[in-house]
Amino acid sequence: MRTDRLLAALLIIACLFAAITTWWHGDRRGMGTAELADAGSGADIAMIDVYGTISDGKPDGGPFGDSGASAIRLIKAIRAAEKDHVKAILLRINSPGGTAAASQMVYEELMRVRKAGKIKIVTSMGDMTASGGYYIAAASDHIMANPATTTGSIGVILHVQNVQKLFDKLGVGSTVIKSGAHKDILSPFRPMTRDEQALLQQLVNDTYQQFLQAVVAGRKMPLDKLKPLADGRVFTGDLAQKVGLVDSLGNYEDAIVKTGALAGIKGTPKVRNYTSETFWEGIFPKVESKLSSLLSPATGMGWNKIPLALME
Amino acid sequence: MLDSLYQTLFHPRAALLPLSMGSSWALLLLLSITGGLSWAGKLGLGGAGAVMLTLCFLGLYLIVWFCFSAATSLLAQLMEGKGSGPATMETVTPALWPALLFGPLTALGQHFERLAGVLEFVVAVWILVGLVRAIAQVHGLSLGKAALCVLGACALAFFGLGALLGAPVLLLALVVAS
Repeated sequence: MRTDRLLAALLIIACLFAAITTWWHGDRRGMGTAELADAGSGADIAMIDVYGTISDGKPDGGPFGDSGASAIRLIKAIRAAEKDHVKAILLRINSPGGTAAASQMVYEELMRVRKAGKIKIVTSMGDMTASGGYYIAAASDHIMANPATTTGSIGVILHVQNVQKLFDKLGVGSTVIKSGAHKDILSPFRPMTRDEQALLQQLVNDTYQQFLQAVVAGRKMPLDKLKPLADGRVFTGDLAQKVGLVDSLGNYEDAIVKTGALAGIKGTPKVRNYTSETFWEGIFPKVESKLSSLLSPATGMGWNKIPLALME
Repeated sequence: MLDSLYQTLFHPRAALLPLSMGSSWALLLLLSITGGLSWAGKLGLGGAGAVMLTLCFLGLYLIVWFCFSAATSLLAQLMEGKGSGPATMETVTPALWPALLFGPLTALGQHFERLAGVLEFVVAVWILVGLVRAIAQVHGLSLGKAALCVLGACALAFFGLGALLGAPVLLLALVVAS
């Protein structure tokens, strides 16, 4: 091959290689568009947004992915931050709660990082950090809330609708063929039996105990002190600080300063968002949620999940 | 294709070597792949996002290529140019070879944002100059008249593309806003 053609071919290969490397690097880090620190420079603090209902939704969005606080996405962000050797993780939580398993997944991941001892974890509460949101926050070394933040709601709720009378009026009946007595335990088409109620109460109690244990372990708070606060009641940030559910009061900027101090960062810390929405992820979920609300009036968490939510 | 690339990038003063229609398509596909992958990396998108962006780039390149060639050809003929529409299309594409460098520059931008920005501007100017020279070459016009054609075509292509993309974007905005 002639030298000039060889040079041209090598240039094409080099450009393709550079493009593939850029994509691979960006995809692996799950980077977003809104970064406070430069992509190349090492960030001191990894900011992780926990906005909306916490659920086990699709991790990376895709054209029609879930835009809420997906547990898998949050875990991915925590691991990316850990891999980048950040000194601290700052959780920015504004969530009414979510499902038990999803909240637990994120909590366990944060506790694993916290126990490793290399990364400090701080939570900055927004408008609301209730129930499942507090579950996650409990894994932090330090919790900061605004005085008017709504928090608490430590408890478990299982809400089952009974639409039997409505269906009777409409003349709609259903036949259930099941493999066991409790296979349709959450059926909304018939009243719940005492046995079923007892079984579900056991399930709620068990999940509640797990929640309590998580807060006890995360906050290092005795169970007898926590229990009176954990009957589902909500607190303002101010009240939560007085009863020990929150460590200090302040806004997001104060939380950054506190995180930097806890992590021993000198000067202004570099903050990088590990969960910021990309352009496509920002656009498509809005369309998706609009379409979903048009197609189905009953949105939110399904009746067959165990929500740790302030409001169902 | 390789000769055209070499001549455009390493002998920028020499006449542009026109590409056949097939090679022009191949060049646009190559530019779409490098552009799509680079931007997917910049936005942190996965495999599906990269494929989607590459297809978007390809569609955009094809539309712009066609619109730009048609507009410059029309304007050049109004200025007594001698070239045809297909000849314009085949001569315009080699001027796009420098766009291949946007891939490495995006990678550079991850570490040296300002330097990459300056170099990207230089490449954009290089492409613009190449387009002017391509129009002058194929239509036998002076560089001044060719520059007028390119500027006019850019304006026409911009408005044409705006009208083409306007409808779906407006629809999307209405769905999100309502």
